[in-house]
Amino acid sequence: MHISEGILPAPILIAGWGAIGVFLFWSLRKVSGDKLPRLAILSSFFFLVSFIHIPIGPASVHLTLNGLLGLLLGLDIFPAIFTALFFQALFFQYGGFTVLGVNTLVMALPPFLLVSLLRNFLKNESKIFKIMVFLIGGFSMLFSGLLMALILWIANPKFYVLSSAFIGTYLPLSIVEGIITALVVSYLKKIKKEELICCQ
Amino acid sequence: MLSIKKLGLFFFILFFLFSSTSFGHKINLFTNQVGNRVEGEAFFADGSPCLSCEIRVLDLNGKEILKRKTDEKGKFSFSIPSGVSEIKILLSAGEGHLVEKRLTLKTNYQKKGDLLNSQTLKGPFLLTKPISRDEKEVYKNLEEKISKLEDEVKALREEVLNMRKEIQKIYYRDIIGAIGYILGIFAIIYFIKKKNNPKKDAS
Repeated sequence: MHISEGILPAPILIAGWGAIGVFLFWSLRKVSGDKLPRLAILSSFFFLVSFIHIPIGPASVHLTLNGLLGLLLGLDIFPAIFTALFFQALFFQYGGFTVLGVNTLVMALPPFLLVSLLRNFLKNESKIFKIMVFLIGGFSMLFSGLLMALILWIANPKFYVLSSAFIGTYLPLSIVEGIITALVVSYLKKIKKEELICCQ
Repeated sequence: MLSIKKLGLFFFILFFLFSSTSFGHKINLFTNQVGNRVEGEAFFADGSPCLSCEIRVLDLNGKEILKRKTDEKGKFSFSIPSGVSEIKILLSAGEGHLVEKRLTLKTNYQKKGDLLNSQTLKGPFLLTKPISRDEKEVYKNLEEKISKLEDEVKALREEVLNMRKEIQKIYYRDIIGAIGYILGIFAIIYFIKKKNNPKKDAS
């Protein structure tokens, strides 16, 4: 899931790079050295997951698990996704360098905001926890899709129309993402609770 | 016990996803002009065709000239409307997968039989008198040779296209290599941070 090169006009591209620059700077200043190996592994994980394509509809879609990354990394999701997308653009021409800022923002902003806003609900031990994690996993994907659609629409209102195919593609995908995120996070919570920075 | 079950389920889902997948996202669009038609083919990075994707042909002012859909092999073709010298071909497969290609059209193409039917030739072979019968024979031979050559060129074109598809494929070695780079970049960041702020990380 990415926007290809040459679709968006320059102002949006520059705005994307500007926004992502701020987040990257903020994150890399704050992150402590011993968190970096984790960041690197999760960045590679995101990179790898993007290659697993599921054919739905005319185009194939793939899991992103950006909700999971948001839960595990918090603010550090920005450098993680940026690095992964950078190499996807460099090695496989997915997306491109001019749209790298926008693409990173599309993938990283929804999970970051969701985790930040819902942090209080993640702290308690109640049954809500699992539901919350599921919702974050699912809605991260869904909001990323909506954000991308919005950006495409702003760039060219005539060309891009939010179609019913969008719902047909993203809704099942979001549910799958939510389930996987919930399973992974509740498993991590059992075996290695200290790793879950979001949920303590 | 519950966690083992869940982990099992997780791997089951992952396995299911892996088994029914193919690489491919980036769309490749190839077009060429054959006579007064434009033929094209669209396929994903893994070489699988872009099925029933929408093709829009615009002129340079952005006005839509015609619309097509790719067939089950990802191919499409359309005849060039008269009076158009340059077109934009837009291909979309949803979710922002959009390819745009500009094509300058050759307007002085020759149709089959052009050479034979023309009574006079243009350009350097400018003739003022009508073509005699012997000359017609020569032109007929030429036509045949040209059509043979065209067939050969077509075969070559297909071969080049197949090679291009091959190049676009994604290999595991690239993916593994990229993961190495990602780890390396964070390692560099780690060392820079450690150098700048050794006390903070020691604690």
